[in-house]
Amino acid sequence: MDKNLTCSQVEALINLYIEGKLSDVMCKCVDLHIKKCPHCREKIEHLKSILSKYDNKQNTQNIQEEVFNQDFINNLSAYLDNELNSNENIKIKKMTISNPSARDKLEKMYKFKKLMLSAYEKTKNDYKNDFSKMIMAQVLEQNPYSTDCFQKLIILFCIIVMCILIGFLYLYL
Amino acid sequence: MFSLNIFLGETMQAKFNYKKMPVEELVVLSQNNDLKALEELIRKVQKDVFATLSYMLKSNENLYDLTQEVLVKLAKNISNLQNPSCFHGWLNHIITNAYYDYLRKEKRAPETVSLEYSCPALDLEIKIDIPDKRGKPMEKCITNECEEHIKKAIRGLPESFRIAIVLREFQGLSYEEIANTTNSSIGTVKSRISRARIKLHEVLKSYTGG
Repeated sequence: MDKNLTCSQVEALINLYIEGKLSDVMCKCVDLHIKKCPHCREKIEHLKSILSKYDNKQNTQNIQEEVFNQDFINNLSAYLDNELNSNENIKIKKMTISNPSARDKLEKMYKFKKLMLSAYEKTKNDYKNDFSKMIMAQVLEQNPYSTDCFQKLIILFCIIVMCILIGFLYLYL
Repeated sequence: MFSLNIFLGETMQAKFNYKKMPVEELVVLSQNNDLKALEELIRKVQKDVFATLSYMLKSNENLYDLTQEVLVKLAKNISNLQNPSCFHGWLNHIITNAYYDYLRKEKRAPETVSLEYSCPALDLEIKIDIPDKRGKPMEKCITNECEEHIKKAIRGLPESFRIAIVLREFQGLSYEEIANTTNSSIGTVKSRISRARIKLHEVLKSYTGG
């Protein structure tokens, strides 16, 4: 095999060379060519830099998608609780209208909410005790000197009558 | 009106139909030393207190004791509530604090510690989700077993998630109120509730069809 490749041949192999899919022999031929040909060398460098930028962008997009999903789920949960502001509300509404899996998620959350409330109501209904009288007895027992206002008024009235009687006795005796 | 009521004593009190009064009215009357109103208020809220604690606690041990403790605190401190419209949030603050105190006694460090409750603005909506009992297919098929599974799943959550989801789903507190009660931020509450729902959904998939 002639090891001297033409620029056209290198151009045809450039993608495979960068992706490392060429055989060792062909790789060496391309290496030999780009040592002598600045034009092809520049092309390969340019393509390598574009590809490395594209890879970084892909990674950040993936990370952003994950954050978006967690954020989206938090907002979906808050939407269920009417805790979103109007902008976020509209975004979630649009998302659930256009995206069937988002709609499905929301429906499951509603179903689950109903189930939880049903369980809670059952727990409440199963409670048959009535602590109200016992609590009132405890509270009043711990405040032995607290009487209701009507009784206080009676006591005050008696004190006033006593004072008047004592006054009369003092005046006429 | 209240001084007239007090002057006429029990005769006047007998004319109040406490059973039909809304909670807010009972709170105001209780703050004015109406003992019958206070008793009716306790009767009205005790089931909620019991059910909420039953999901907060990891077992039924001490559940009835804690319920009584909360009700006694409510009765003794009702006059300290400055804004009666914040009664619901204030009661949940008592419930959550009672739960944290119980953890401390059991020598378990709580994940969060609540500070003094400050009442939010008057225009804060306190949402209480009371489900319509008619025609709800889910409620008709709630069995003891199902309820136990749900309770077990909730009790299996990490504490901070459990408190947040219980206060939200069962007591209908807003995120702001929950943040106030648990000394955390609204963003944290939002994340905890969302993650609690995800965890519960994984555990209880079969009940919601996957």
